Amino acid sequence: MKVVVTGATGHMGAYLCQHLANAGWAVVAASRSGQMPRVAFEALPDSSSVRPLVLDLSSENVPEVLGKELGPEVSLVHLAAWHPPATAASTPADRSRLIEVNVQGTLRVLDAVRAGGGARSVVYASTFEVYGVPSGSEPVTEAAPTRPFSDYGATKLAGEDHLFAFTAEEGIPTLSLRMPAIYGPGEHVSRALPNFLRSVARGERPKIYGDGQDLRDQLHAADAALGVECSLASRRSGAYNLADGTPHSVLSLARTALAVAGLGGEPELLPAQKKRFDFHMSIAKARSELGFEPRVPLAEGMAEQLRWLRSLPDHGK
Amino acid sequence: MTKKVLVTGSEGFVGRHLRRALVARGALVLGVDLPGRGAELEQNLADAEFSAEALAERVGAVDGIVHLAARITRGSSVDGDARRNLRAIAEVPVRVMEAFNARYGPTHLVFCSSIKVYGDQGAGPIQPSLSPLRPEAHSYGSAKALAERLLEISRARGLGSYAVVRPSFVYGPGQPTTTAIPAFLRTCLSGAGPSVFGDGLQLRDDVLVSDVAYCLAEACLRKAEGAFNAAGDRSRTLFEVAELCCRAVEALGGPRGLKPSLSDARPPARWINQSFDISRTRALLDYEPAPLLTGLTQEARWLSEGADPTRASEYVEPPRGAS
Repeated sequence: MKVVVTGATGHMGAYLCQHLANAGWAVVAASRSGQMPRVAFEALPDSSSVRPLVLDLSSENVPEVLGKELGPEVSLVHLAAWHPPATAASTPADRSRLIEVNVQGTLRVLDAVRAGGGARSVVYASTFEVYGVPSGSEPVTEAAPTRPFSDYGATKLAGEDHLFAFTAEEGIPTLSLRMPAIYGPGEHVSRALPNFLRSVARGERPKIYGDGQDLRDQLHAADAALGVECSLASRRSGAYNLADGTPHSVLSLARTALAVAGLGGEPELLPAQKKRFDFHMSIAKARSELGFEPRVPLAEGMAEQLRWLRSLPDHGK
Repeated sequence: MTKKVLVTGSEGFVGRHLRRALVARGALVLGVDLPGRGAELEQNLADAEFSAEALAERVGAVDGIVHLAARITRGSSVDGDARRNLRAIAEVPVRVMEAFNARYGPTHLVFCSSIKVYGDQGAGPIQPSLSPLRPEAHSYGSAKALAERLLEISRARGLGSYAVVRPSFVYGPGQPTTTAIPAFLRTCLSGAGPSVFGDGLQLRDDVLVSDVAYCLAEACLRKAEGAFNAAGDRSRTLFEVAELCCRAVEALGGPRGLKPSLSDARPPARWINQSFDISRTRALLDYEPAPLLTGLTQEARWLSEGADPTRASEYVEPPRGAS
């Protein structure tokens, strides 16, 4: 079984390539750099099961380069995307790049499927940001309105819309996984969970802006990879939420960071900088239709990420 | 004082009628269209090098902007054509809105979207909410939906103000003649009854082009915000539309007693049955759509007299709302 993964050297991409190679897939790992994807603490994957490929989503040669790797029995996982440094205020230049990479890039990848004689199925990494601010307090389901308040969310949603059109036109299954930020060793972004771990790695208390009661979803990179494998096996189409299924308050993330570091005390509470915003998705659809069941308990995943941070020369600072 | 309105896609089907509607309201129109089409400003908005700031600099301050420019693609949703069209449809409106607002202060933009952003929501009538779910399965609707979302994100950040007008199936004098209504009318004018493919029960809503121009002009000059459906007087089955085409040709003094017939010469196309709620458009823009028979008669006359697209707006009623 052959699978092509775009964005293969990213955080989730590396876990996915490893996971699929271990499950017996022949993996083509496409990325701008063309490097071999590598998971922290793991050996490089065997070159007989993972083959790197140079692919730049903003180039018009995507249909040709990627098309050669595809065919009716080849699966495709499209993870490659761009996220600007700050979600709240992307600049017009950021927006142009988001459209170029996340929308036009997705169209080029789908055009490669068309030009390259098809695919067994396509799985696309989408985001919880397609929803915007939830309208109620119930866990957000896939039927909720999509009102993205970030350009990133709008461009990922446009990618989903084009996948939907592509399936109608070409008859090839396409499935979108709406995921929260993904944690685990190798995570480089700045947001609550990794920031808390960076603090405790330095022996400091995590800082929380506000009372820390805001709810956020979490998904370990290994579970994200598992979700993709379930999606490929299902050959279904449509949007699916994917997370660990548990609502986590920001405060509980900070306390878990202290606990896994073996530190006592409480996080430091500072005045809120933003309006409170809860986000928690239901993963009932992924459980029942894809057979997805997350495996990594939060404390275990965070302990592993802390161990990785401590292994870095500057503790990930 | 004369109001200046910038219109992108000014020389297209809707653009020509909008130009007339705006001029009738005493406005000065600055049109932008592809080179060689006769607009005041020649510019391909799908160019990768297009600069909204340079356009704002060149045009100067305006009292409003209407963005129409778009090519209707019917091929693949992901090929090179779809990608070029996406650039003009999705990103240009928000860039133009922001450029004029940044350079000259509040400048209201009206974006001509499409009912294709609604997708399949049941037979309706569909309300014009700002967050439709999944657009119809084609890049045209997906690109329009992205444009709307980017405008809303920008507005929420205080970078401009806008309205979206979502026309249903636009017909009338000047219409590109590859779609159902002009095909029916031409057949009737030649003395034959039109053929309706499939069972004829496809529910559709047709809106006269001058009614769309009315909505765009009024939304622009009134600085109305939010989403508006620009639909016709009611939805009908395709078979009913074909019957009315027969009556329109009759009303012109053409062949009498023609009837449409059902044909299975072509497989039925994918179809979404839709109808639209226009109460917000009526309430905020004083909109009143023309009866379908009236518009079909105008289009039939235009077709029978040579179908010159440059003279299309002469075949419609004098615009309402004109001072």
